[in-house]
Amino acid sequence: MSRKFATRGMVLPLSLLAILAVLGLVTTLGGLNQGLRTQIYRTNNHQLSFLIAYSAFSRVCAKVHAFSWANRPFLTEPYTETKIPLQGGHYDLLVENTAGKDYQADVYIRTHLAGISRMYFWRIRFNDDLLDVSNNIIVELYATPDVEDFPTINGPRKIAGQVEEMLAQRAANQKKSDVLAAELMKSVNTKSVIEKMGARVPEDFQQEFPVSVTEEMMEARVAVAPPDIQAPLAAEKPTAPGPSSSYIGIGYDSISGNQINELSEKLTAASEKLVEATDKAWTEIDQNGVDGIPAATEQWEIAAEAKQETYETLDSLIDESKTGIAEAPSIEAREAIEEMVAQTVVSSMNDITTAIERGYEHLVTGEGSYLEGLTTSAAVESLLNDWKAAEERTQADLDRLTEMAGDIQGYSMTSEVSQKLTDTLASAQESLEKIQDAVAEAEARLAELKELEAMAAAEQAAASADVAETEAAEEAAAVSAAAEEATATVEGEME
Amino acid sequence: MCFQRRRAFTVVELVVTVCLVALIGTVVMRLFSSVGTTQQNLSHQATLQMESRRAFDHLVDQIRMGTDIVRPATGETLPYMVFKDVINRMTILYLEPNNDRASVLGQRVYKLVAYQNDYKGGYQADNEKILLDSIRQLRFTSLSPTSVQVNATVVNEKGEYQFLAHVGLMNLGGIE
Repeated sequence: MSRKFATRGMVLPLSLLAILAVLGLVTTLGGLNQGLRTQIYRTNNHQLSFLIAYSAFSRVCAKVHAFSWANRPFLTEPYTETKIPLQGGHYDLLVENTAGKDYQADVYIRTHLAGISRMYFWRIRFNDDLLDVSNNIIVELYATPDVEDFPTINGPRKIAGQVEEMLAQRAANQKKSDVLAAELMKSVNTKSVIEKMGARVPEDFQQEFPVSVTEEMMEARVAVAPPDIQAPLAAEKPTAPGPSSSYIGIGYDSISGNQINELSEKLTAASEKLVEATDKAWTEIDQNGVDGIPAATEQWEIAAEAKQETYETLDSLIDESKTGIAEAPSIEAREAIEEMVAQTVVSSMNDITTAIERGYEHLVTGEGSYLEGLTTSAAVESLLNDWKAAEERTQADLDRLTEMAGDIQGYSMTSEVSQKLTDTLASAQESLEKIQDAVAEAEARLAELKELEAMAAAEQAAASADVAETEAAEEAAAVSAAAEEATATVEGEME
Repeated sequence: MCFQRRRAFTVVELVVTVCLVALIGTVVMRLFSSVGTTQQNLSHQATLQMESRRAFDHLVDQIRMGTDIVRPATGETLPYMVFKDVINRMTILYLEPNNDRASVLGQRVYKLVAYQNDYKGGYQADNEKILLDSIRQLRFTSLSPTSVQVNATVVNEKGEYQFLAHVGLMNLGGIE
């Protein structure tokens, strides 16, 4: 009996212990597993809910595409769907036109999955463009409001008001964000980006830890600095009446493989410098008269250099464009190069004629007074020689501009650019005619002055001759009187 | 009369019994110890996964609300990301060395910081959030102007958890 008891005494506690251990293990692992599964389940449901909502949203977009905007399901009243099963859950949907805005709609979707409801909102804009079918529906705003905000057909639209506020806030922050984004795009290292964002710049590790090769590579990575593409000038926008001084981005032309963009940039800079220097020179003359001549001369010299550079660059650009056009991979690429070059060339030609005009404006207003103020033929002749030289230069400019116009004549260009080219040549011709008229007037004035001077000389000569005659007569009379006196004296002595 | 002689345990029996008890005891102890370690490991890994998934959800939700990716540029991979949100505030996600965790884990470990610039000027402590505190590496690759791929490795004492997500921005339109 006691032996039996002794045996039992060994087995029972051991068995109980083993059972407890197994139970403990199972319970612990089971609980842990359940916790993990719940978390994963919830996380997955969070993403899955979004996918349900996004699927419902895509179905709405498909309906708009299928029916066209004019026949959209929510044309006259909100379109609703209730408890539509999808991917293990279901969703409720309400779509309606955005109050007070054409071609816009508000999409409310409420999903239910595993006992949890979530709410999603999209405001979409319909782009009614047959040529851009892939971009017909544009999401204006996406938000995840509270589930209670899901509207009933006649109920309040709480979110719509919030959306308006958000859009207003977005518009208010637009410029600031654009400026900051532009700044950030120029930054190539993490520290400068964080600083510009106003965030805390982190300190480095206090201890040395091994660094993996990939981590080292990533730390040494320098962000790409994209090309600085400036916004088009107001005058370059499609709604503008026509191109002004051209803007061409800096960079290598990937289409033609040449330096058209770089040359265009150089050309624009040179032609603008020409206009600026010419304007400064004449402003100096206008303000200070003769005293301003030294300063104006400096500006004219700068203008002359800029003009020379403009012509040289124009020649290079036209030559380069011919190569680019010949090597263009497609008709579209060729036309793009032609349009770009034509616009730049015409713009620079226009700058040249503007500079010429600026001088002749002065000539027109002051021409009469110049000539009237000059009273000698020598002064007028000197001025005439200057004007004749200017006429020759203008003629040369016109010839060169006409030749360039001929070079780009066959290029593809917009009607505005074509019109500007015609206007530019007409303006150059007008300037030539102005200086030709001035030269003609100066010649007439010179002839007039020469005639007057000849007459004056003749009068003076005649006057001189009279004086000489009088003096001779007086002398002869004196001689005669002296002779008579001498004769009388001789006769008296003889008597 | 039956005389039954009471025998004591022999030395051999005692030795065998003691050995068996010792063996079973050792096995049981080791089993308990193993269960404890396994439980701890699983607990750590579960915690890691849970934290990672929660952070991942938060991260994805934040990026999804974005309107424009400022950095990285399309096709570029960077260890930080800057984007505009729905009201044009600028948000940066970047890594900050976590010295405490790094000392514990014996490797370079970072915190994932989200900072939102709302144009009030200067650093605003309220606009900063720590999304994760034990991250070993983070990569953002911009696949298109409206989507980004996030690749992160989260670590703790017992292992690593890596997630890869392709997140598309939902706010794409301009303002009328």
